[in-house]
Amino acid sequence: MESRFDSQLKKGVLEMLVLGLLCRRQTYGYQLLGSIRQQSGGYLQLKEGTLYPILYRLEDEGLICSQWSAQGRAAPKKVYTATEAGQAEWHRRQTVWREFCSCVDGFFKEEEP
Amino acid sequence: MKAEFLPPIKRYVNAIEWHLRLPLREKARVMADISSAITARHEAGESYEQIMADMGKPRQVAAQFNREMGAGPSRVRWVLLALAVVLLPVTAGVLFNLGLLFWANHWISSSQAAAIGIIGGADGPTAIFVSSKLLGPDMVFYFLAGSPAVLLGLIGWFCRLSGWQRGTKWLAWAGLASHLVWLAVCAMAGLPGGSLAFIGLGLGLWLCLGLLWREYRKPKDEN
Repeated sequence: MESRFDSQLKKGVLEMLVLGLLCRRQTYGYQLLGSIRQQSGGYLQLKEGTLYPILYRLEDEGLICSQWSAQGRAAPKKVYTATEAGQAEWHRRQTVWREFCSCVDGFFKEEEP
Repeated sequence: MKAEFLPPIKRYVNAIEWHLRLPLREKARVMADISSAITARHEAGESYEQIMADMGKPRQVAAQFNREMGAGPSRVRWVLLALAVVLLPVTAGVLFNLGLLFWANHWISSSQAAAIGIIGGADGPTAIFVSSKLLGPDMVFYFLAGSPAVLLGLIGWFCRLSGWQRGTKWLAWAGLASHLVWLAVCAMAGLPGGSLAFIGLGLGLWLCLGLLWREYRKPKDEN
C-alpha cells in the first residue's frame, strides 16, 4: 500500500503533468491515461476518478478547454486542449518545479559526506 | 426497463451514477466523460469486461470522484438528527410506560393493581390498556407508541446520509420490527380500525421501509 508521502507527492505533480501533456498536443481522457502511464514507466497509473477531476479543475481555471469531437464515429469523444493561459501557466510551473527540486536537492547535498 | 435486462456495461454505468454524491450538473459532466472513456477503451480493443475490471467497482469509481470533487454528505441529515433528538424523550417515555405495564402485569398482586387503577383479575395487557390510569390519555399514547420506529428510522437515515452505510439496514429492520410488534399489541388491545390504520401506516414504517428499499434496491452490478 502506498505511503502517505508517496501519494501526497504524486498528487502534487499530477495536475502539472496533465497540463504539460495537453500543452504538447490536444488529446482525450483515455489517451492521457495511457500517455501518463507510458511516460512515467508505469510509476504513475491513474484511474478515471483521479484524472477527470484534474481536467475539470484545469478547465474551470481556464487553463484548458474541451470540445466534443465525432470525427465520423458513432459516439463522440471529448478532446482537451491547452489554452494560451494554460501554456503560460505550464511554463510558470516548470520554473517553480525546477526551483523546488533545486531546493530539495540542496538538503540532500548537505547530508552527503 | 428492469436492471436485469440491461447490458452489463449499462448496469455498470448506472451503478456509478447511483453512488455519485454531486450536484446534478457535475454528475452529468462526470457521466458524460465516463461513457466517453468506456467507448474510447472499447474502440481501442478492450472488452467491456476488461474495462469494468480495470476501472474498478462502481462504488469505488464513484467514491474517487466524490473524494476528488469535494462531495460532502447531505445537509438534510442535520434536520433528521434534530428530529431524532426531539423524539428521544418521547420514545423514552413510551418505553418507560411499557416497562411499567409489564411490571404491573407480571410482578404485582391484583390488589396492588387495583390500587393503581388497573382492572383487577384481568390478565394480559389488554385490560391494562383500557383502564390503566398510568397511561393517561390512551389514544395519544397509542399514537406516540410508534416513536421507537420513527427514532430508529431517523437515526438510520442520518447514518446513511453521513456516509456510514454499514448497519443502517439493521436499524431499519429493528424499527420495522418494533412498529409491527406495537401494531400487533394495539390490535390485541382492541383499538378501533381507524386508529390501527393510522398506527399501521405511521411515519416510522415509511422511514424504515425507505431505508430498506434504498439498501436492497441498489444496482445489481455491485461486485
